[in-house]
Amino acid sequence: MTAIDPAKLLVECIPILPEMLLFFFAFIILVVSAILPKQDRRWIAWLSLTGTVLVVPTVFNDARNLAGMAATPVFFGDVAVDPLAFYFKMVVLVGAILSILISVDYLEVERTQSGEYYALIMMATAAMMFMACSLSLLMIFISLETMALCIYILVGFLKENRKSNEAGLKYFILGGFSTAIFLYGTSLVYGATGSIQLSRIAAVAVPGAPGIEMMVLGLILIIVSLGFKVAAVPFHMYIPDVYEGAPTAITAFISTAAKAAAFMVMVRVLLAGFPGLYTWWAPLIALIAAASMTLGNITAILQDNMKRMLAYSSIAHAGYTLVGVLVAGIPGETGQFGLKAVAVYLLIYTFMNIGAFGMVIMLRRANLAGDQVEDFSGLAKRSPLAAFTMLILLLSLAGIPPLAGFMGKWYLFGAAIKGNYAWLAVLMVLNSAVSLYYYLRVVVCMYLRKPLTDEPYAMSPALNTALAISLGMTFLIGVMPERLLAFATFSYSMVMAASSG
Amino acid sequence: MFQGLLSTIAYVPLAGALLLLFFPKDSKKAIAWFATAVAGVDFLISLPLFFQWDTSLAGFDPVTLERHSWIPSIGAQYIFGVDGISALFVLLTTLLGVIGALSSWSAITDRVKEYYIFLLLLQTGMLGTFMALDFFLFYVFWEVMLVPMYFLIGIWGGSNKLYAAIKFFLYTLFGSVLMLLGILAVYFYYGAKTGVYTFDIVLLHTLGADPAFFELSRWVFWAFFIGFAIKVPMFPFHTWLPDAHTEAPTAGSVILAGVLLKMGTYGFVRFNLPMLPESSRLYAPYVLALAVIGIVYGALVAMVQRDWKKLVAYSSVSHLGFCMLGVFALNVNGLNGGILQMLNHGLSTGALFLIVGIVYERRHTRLISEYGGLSKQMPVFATIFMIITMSSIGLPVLNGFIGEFTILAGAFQIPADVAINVLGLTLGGKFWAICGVTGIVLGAAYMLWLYQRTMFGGLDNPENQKLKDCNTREVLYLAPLVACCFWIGLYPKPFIDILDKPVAHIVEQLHATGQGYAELGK
Amino acid sequence: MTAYLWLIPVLPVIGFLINGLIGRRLPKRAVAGVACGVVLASFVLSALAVTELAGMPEDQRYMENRVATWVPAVDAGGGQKGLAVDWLFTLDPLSAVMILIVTGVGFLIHVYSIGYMGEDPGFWRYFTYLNLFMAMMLTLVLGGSFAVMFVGWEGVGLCSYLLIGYFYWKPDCADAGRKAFITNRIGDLAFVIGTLTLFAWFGTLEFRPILQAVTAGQGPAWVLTAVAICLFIGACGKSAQIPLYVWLPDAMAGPTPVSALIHAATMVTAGVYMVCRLSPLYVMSPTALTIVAVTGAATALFAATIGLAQNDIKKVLAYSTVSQLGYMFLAAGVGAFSGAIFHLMTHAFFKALLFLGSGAVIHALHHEQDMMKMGGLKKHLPTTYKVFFCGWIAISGFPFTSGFFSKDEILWRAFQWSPVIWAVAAFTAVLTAFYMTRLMGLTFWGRTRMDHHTEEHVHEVPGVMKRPLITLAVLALLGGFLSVPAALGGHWMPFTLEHWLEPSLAHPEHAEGHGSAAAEYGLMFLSSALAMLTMWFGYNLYHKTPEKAAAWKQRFAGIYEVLKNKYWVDELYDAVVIQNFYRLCRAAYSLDVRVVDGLVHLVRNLTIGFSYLSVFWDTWVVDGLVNLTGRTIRTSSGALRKVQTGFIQSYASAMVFGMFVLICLYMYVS
Repeated sequence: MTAIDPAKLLVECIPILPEMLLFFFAFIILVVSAILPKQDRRWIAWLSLTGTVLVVPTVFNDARNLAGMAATPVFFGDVAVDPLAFYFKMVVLVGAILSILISVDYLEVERTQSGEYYALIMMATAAMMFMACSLSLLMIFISLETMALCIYILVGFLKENRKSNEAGLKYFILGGFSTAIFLYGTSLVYGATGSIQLSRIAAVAVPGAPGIEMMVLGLILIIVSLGFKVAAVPFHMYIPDVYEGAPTAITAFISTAAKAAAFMVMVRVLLAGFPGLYTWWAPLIALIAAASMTLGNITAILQDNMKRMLAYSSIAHAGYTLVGVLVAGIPGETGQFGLKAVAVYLLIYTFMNIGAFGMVIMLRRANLAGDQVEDFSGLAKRSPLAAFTMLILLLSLAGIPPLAGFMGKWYLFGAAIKGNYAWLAVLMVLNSAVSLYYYLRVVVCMYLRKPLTDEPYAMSPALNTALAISLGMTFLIGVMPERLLAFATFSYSMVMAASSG
Repeated sequence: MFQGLLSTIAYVPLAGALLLLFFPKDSKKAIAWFATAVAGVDFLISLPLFFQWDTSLAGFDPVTLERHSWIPSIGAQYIFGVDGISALFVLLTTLLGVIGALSSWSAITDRVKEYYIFLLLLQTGMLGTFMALDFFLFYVFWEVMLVPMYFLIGIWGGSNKLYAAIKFFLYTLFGSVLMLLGILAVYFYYGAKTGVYTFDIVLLHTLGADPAFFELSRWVFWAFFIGFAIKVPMFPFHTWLPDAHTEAPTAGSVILAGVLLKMGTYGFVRFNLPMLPESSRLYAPYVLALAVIGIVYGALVAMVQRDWKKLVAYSSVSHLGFCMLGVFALNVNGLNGGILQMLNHGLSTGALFLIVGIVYERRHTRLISEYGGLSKQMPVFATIFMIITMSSIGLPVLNGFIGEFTILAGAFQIPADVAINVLGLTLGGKFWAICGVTGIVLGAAYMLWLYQRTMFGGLDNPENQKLKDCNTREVLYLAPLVACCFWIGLYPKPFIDILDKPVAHIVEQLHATGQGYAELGK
Repeated sequence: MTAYLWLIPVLPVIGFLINGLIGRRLPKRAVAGVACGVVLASFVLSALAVTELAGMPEDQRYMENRVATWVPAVDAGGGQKGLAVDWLFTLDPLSAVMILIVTGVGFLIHVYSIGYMGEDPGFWRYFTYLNLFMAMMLTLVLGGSFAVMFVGWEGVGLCSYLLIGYFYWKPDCADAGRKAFITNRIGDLAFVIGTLTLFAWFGTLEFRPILQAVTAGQGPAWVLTAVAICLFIGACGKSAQIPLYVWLPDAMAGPTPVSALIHAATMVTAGVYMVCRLSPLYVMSPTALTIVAVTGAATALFAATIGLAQNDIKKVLAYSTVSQLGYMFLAAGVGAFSGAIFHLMTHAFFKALLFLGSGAVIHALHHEQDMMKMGGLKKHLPTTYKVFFCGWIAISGFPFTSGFFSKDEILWRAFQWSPVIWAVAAFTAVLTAFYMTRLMGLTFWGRTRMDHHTEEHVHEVPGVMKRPLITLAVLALLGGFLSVPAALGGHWMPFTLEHWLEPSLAHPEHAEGHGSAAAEYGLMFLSSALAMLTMWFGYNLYHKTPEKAAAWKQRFAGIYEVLKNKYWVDELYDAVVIQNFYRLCRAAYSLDVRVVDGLVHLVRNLTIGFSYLSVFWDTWVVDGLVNLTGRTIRTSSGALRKVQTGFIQSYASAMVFGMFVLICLYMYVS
């Protein structure tokens, strides 16, 4: 198109209203934080929270008449309006809201309360929402980068903290590296198929097509860079350092929202872009999945630093989720089941994990890092409720019924069985036993060890709210999951959309 | 009996646990009283299951059957129901619940509140497991039990409690997740076959009659087998048991031995036999082999234990071997005996652990060599211990005999072609039975030696010379067990009447398909 | 049918409950009253039942009393019989004889115990056990099915365990009790196997239907033989036959009346009773009968030889009991079931008498059991001596005493069956006469070997102990006339036991061949002559010329040693069986700890090992480069430079590596 017709542009923009809104709020916050006096900076937190919450209804409004409809390309055909996108937008928003909640007083403790922080979170969120609905590799790339850039900064946000700086820089450089790989892959694919629209690629990318090798090579590179984003083995090296170094709230944010978005992209690319090449990418995904869950869990056993342990556990969980992605590629009912497994699991994981990191934040006191496993000692004695919360979250992470984590595990096991990946199923089973082993270490500290200090815990209304939400959801989803499942069922139609281009 | 009775039974302890939250930490006496009262009430509520039971029922009692939709999108429902078999186990659970709570009054002195909360939660978990008629629900309860038990062992356990607790948790979890895979396989097979995705056990049982299911069922059998066999525990999956039993607090051991172990055997009866009849028949010889190994092996190992509790723990391995022998005799006598023996084991071994607990509270050692000549000092205690010993070695007019004898009667009816080949010689038919019978001698050997070493001989150890005999409370919680031992021993009719029809029903399902044992060869 | 049979075993139970629950608080006479009262009551009741039985026409002398269901019949699918057991008590001539013996002798011993246990603090406990024993023994005898019989069978085992270990604070008593119980259990193992095999074949456990079926020729021969042998092994356990006899001598650790009641008169004869009860089964299997006969003969001889060289008065009697039981099995084996029962009865009389007599002696000597410390008691204990004398001649088979008749019948039938067996039996009889004479000699005759102090306090037994002794003495002398052999004009007697038992016992074919009357008289004369000669010889040896006895001992020192040490059988068992059993147990345990649990630990350690590996990889192989490069340029600027170097390169290289792997994989796939 040569001349941009503003009216048309506006019309095209309606579907991406929520994202726009987020950006808008972000800018407002930047301005406000500039004018606001230093002492009442924390108002910004509340402001940004309001902003993010305000976006939710717009997403809903956007989703009203979506039930069961296929992905309709809008915004110059680059953005999908479909249930799956909607679902993942919600997941991302939940992640963002909870992360903001646990940030508020944490930043006080870290003495880095500032507007940019929240603005960046919101922009990242917006980017993720774009990722959730991008239909073209270019769009994906842009949103991916936007998100990444915000997160690089956030990770290194604690200026006095060297670990944090290192982490930020590492993340930045490696991220750039992976971006490059993604671009390279994209260009290869473009060269082979002559398009960056997933639907068109799907039409061409079938076994035996001309230039299939190049296509597959490109696909592999894309998988590699996405593997980096979802923190899968062997692209996980940076994860422990970054998770440990980053501000805990940000760790929570990237381990849930960012990961969910990345998975969303992966699902999009693989199911909407390369359904035809399932036989080519399935073994790779299977391999990555197996490696991630095994190495993640096994390495986690020996971690004494809570954040590192959770980092490795999140690698393992990425492995589980990949099994879902793998099965989702199988056309038909099985594929739906797999996709549903991914969807359900990521939302559940968001609640559990942010909760867990919230507990770590609770232990972060002005004069002590509180991110060691030992720091949980005697929690049950000093604050039974907190200990109970952590207990529930850990058990849920380990997949013990009747907690949310179990529903997620159930779906993934189910997917593996249904998709005839029995060996993966068994591997998951063994891994979940292993994971219990290190989760219980924390439980032992909480319930059987004497407290190390009597330093008061960094409890605060905001944090407690966040913890309460994650605890409540962990229980609720575990005991009466029907609501969530119905909600997730919503995202079925994606599969048809994918296979039917 | 009325609709909702089962849920009431299952959730009264839960409610009690929630109420306990509001008790002040240090009002220990009140907490203990309340918890015991809750358990007691629960027991009373559950009594109708026995006294108003309609013995003509082969299936699940329609009056108490509850069915609510739970997770429609995966077809999991909330179904509670009992047949004769599970009814008896529910009763056993509630009974041991009271006794466990009562026995902890003096044993547990710190973190009392948490203790009773966990105890009650455990109770709910176990009851739910026996009542759930939905496979998904069953699994949920099955795993829920692990957590409180883990804490009971881990917090109030003995010197090596952490090791024991985590071993118990991991080992059992490993088994049960494998079982979960089996459940999923059945679930998807049934769904694909009928288009209805459900966990309704009664529906899934119909798979037993589906020849096409056989191939898959072989795998499912082993998935279930590992899950249940670890719980039973069958040789060689038993090594978590001695540690768990030994380290757990008295009430923990009582419930562990009395109820938790039964879940494994119950699982076999409820799921493997009716749902996978052909595989059950096909693999019966191997299970039988493990069962008899368990009988003999457990007894041999028990013989040389220096630790009183460990000895009892290994005796459980032996006794549960008996139960499995009965169950996999795959005939009415065997099953009847097997199930009855599960109850008996719950009663007598539960009592044995209580007995250890009584002296442990006084002397704080489990070493057998520390005791001796207690009969002089504690006559009442000695008498009860003697009765229980006799019941556990299967002396007639006590419960143990009825169980073992019926099991063996069933075992002697195992057809000769239920056999395995070891080094060229075919072991089968009577062989299982005869191996089983040796348990009678070995059981007597280690139990009597234990009795002699602890109760007889001179009262040499000055520590023992000031031991007090059982107090009223202790007698109070041992008495019902002793009474039941005599009741089942002298007049087991009411129990067998309850079991009879359901068991016959299972045996029918078991032999409905295929040509029975004839095709075992292939 | 008579509905009161069940009362016969239940009455003692009442006594058991009363004494057991409140006995501790009751005065001794009350305890004794209750205990003896209930036994007397059930004796009377038995007598009534038996008279009623006698009133019936011969061929239908059978009462049964089905009290209640015990194990209800389960509805068995697949053509298999469900187990069904009733509390069934039956009375037939055989059990009639038994209950009379059990209650009668039992009552006498109860009475005797009042005196004997008089000073014992555990008086009430003693009588509790004793009543329980009576109940169980009667259940055993009256039980109409294997299951009910097994109740008694195990019950008497328990009581014997409790009573042997009555002085539980003495380690050897406790050991003896356990030994008895476990040895019995080994027998029971075979018993249960036999029983349940029968159940598997005939689908019931009641004697009547099974035996009828067997007589009707149902059931393959090999099964019947196997079952018969299994059951006989069970009997060996109970009745102390080779190889399971070892517990009985040790059982003497219990109070003496107990030895009299349980280990002489009643319980140990349960095996014989069972074999006779199942005679129809046994006659179906000549093999089994032969085994029974041979085992019996062997045991009889073996035990008798050991009896020759024991110095503990009770030990002598114990081995004598084993030997006599062997006699009974011998009888059963050769098909003389009635003979077996007859000898059972007479033995009950004279052996109970001898035991109680020895009890009187021991009581008089303040629990001295070593005959080497006795001698010359004749003048101190006249009554005891007299009754003991009766017992002595009875057991030695002095003409027209009870022992004479019963032994004679057995010998005669044995001769008909096989002269070899007869020879063994006869020789055993000689030995019996000899060691009993020796016992008499060492205890009552000759010069006293007591120390002065003891001699002072020797006192004759009180009346309450005396009366039972006298009663038994009479029975021991005259009991034989209950079954006078035809040759001595039995058919002119109003009653012979053999005839009475007719309906309940079977007859093997070979037993029909009657030898000539001359032979019978000859044998009778021969055996009694031998017995008397031996007694005379022993009398001389131990009364007149004790020094000669010592000389003989010197002569046969070697043999004497062997016999004195009971052929070292206990030591043998200990070395071969028990020690190896314990080895096996220890092996199993270490297997459990090392291998079975070891595997579990191995898995855990492997997992953790891998964990170390991968942590090592993450921290050293990857970050290692960092520290390396970091060191090289430490001088130059800090963190950032450091970060820019090693870390990133290594991580990136890791990623590239991963990428490379995937691409290779793809190449491989395509």
